Amino acid sequence: MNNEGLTPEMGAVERAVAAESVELAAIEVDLADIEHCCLHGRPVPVARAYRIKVDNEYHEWPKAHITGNQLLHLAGRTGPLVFEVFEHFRHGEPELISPHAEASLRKHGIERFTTEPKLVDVTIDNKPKTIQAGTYTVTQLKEVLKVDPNRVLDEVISGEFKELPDNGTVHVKGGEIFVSHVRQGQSS
Amino acid sequence: MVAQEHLDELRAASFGDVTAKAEGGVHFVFFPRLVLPQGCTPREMQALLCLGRHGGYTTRLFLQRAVPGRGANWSSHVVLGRPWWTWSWNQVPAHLRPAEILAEHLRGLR
Repeated sequence: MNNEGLTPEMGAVERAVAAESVELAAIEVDLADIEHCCLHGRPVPVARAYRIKVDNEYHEWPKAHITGNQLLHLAGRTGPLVFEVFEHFRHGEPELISPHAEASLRKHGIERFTTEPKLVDVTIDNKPKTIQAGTYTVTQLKEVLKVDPNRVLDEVISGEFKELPDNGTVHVKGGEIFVSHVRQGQSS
Repeated sequence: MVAQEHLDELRAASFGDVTAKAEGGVHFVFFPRLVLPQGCTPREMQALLCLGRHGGYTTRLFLQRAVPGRGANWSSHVVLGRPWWTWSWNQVPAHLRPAEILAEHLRGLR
């Protein structure tokens, strides 16, 4: 086909359709079970769909690639707390898949996927503490940090003490410094 | 004497080179740059946290200048050989960690 006059977008669509046609033509089976292939040491064939195991649950996925975010979604890890995804091989260490990275389901030796809480280090009252990254209400954060709910919780950001109201939320990414204190001061 | 771990905690919270000082048996922590709560003008100034009893107050936070519109009954005091300003804010116990004492005094400026 003569591409002259096509916009770049139309050209991209045409290339994607062509690539999909090649993929469809190469289909060997309707459903490829990657865990089964792995356990039997066989390569994963080109398939219409792939059976994958995520956190001990099986899912069918219609493409040969899947992103970290898509795996989190399959695992139901879509809440306010942050999880990480790992791909496991029959041999070797699990590998982290970042949210926007794609894992190939046809990669040799890939067996299953798991999700785990993303743990980060924060400081509470001058002591290090490891907690799950994500968004907490301040009440929840006090519970996780083992701070008495009656105490005031401040986050220190660039030298500024910011009081965190109990009905507020905090996004914990790691490295945060929290100070809790009694509410005892008063005008005299 | 101010424990090293308590000074380290304040330094880790980005207060610059905080230093311990003492006068008349009372311990202080000097902040070359203390960030005040939102709405205070100016937002940053030198400060001196008094960790013991001072003039009938259990602990005190002295500031380089008074903060208009925040706190009540501001008064001037000479501490460690220079004038400081503080407001009427009492009952913050001296047995707390300096970071806790500071946080509770700053609450009085919100």
